[in-house]
Amino acid sequence: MDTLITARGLSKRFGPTVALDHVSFALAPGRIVGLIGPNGAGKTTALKAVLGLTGFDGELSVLGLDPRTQRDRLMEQVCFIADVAVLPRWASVSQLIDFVAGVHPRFRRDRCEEFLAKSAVRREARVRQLSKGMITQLHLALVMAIDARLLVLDEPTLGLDILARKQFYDSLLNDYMDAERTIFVTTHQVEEIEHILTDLIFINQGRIVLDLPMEQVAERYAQLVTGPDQVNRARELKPLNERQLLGRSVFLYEDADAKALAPLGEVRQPSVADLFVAKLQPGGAA
Amino acid sequence: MNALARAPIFNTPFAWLIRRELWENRYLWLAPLVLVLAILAAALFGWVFFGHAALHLDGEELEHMHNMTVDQIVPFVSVGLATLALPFLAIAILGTQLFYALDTLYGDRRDRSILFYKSLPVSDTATVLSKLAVATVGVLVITFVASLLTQILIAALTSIELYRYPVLLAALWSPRVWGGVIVLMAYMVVALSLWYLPVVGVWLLISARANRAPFMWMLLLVLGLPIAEGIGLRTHHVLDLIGRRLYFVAPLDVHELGAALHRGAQGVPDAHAPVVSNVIAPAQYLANPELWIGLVAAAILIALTIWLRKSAEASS
Repeated sequence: MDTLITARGLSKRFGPTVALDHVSFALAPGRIVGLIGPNGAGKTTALKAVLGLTGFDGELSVLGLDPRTQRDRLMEQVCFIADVAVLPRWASVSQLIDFVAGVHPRFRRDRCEEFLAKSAVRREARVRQLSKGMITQLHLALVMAIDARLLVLDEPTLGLDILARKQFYDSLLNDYMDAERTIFVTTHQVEEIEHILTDLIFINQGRIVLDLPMEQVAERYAQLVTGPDQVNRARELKPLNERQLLGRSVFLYEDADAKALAPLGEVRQPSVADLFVAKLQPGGAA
Repeated sequence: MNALARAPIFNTPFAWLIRRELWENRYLWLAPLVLVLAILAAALFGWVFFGHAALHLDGEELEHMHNMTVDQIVPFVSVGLATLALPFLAIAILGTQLFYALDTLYGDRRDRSILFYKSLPVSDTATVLSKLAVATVGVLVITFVASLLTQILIAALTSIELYRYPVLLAALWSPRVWGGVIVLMAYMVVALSLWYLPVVGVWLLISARANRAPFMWMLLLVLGLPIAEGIGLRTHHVLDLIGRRLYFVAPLDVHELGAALHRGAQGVPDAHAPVVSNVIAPAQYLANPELWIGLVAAAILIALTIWLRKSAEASS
């Protein structure tokens, strides 16, 4: 399989703190990969390594290039939205469009104008005069007008209201995504993106704890909701995690026999958030 | 965009990097403009309240010069006008470079826009070199234009006082005067810029490295280091080094210039008029080893700055 990103044994330390501990993963084209982890897990460090924004030990190839030494070439085919605050606040919208058009060989001004025409962003406005939602729309318009193969998003909707967040991901899917493009995204708001993800990577304390395509998540993980009478039998099947919800017990299983679970209660596919909690807190609040 | 802006040379990525610096730092061209207007206002104020439009010209000197021919006067006026601008040029170049170069790389990290710039296919080398180009060539061109504009305005105001001296008036507005002024000022601006290059290198390095308050780092370097050396070692090598570099070194034949201006003021119509080519002393300037040591230091400082920019991340 063609890979866009191949990381082997990626490590990074900040003094005594280990940000990445021999991390390995691979991203294929046409996928939307979520990198999920708690604060300080190493998500942003991993993304910065991919973008050539930080040094690291280990092997990393992005689109066949070494981000440490070939960042400027890499950025011809990679786009990046860190969070809403990075567009220069002194610039006007039209200056930003002119500037990106001037330095980026794969930028298409007409596509950017087309996208902005659907928004309330005025060309003569300066970035500092725009709302957070408008700045995100502007940044997204600039990025979507670039014919890039990889889009890296680090908490792209941080600080946005729910409408702006939904609009952001809708635009991404409708106007940007196709079979050749890949999105690599980190966010705390897992529930907002789980329906668009094709692959899931969990990272904790600098280590990968889960790396699966979403279809395998459905095959390998099951959630059982049961009453007090079935709790002991459910525990015998060795759940990954157990918690209480409105007087009922919720168990999460890895590689469990679906036929054995079915008689014990309601079996369903766990949400990414539930799976995340189960993988990071094995055992849970029993 | 107009036709000039669409010309291929202005459409390279490097040209766009320069343009974005001029967009962001509008004071680079607004400050000299304000200075020109302030000088003009001061001259007008002097004319209205003290009866002198611009330069205070001594009546005896004027009478002396009035007895000379236009050809004899032209070189004096030319050299006089240009050298009059030298302190202005030096202060304007040093001041603008200080404020711009100290803040430019630090500012990108402070507002986190460095992440936006680094998300574009532009190398850190090109980014630093574009900032260096603005701090040197950009400041140089802007200062030159502003100085020339000031000279023209002052000459225009001085003309009001010279209405009784048609020979002097003709000499003042002779194309040869302004040709000489332009050549001499262009030479001085280029020479000063090369002399100040290591200073710009130090400011850029501080800007690339400081996590906060680059201005304080500059003060620490320029004031703290000499004071520490004076107290600790009872020597003043650092102070001498800074003094020699910051005090504008006139790339001119100072002896010839002084003598020539004196002859001009005395109205001596001899054959030793200060032609521009006599006053310009490139050999003397280029033979100064401190110029070359400075240029080598500047190259090292710029290389270090590029390296720091490559490893730089947003400060928050």
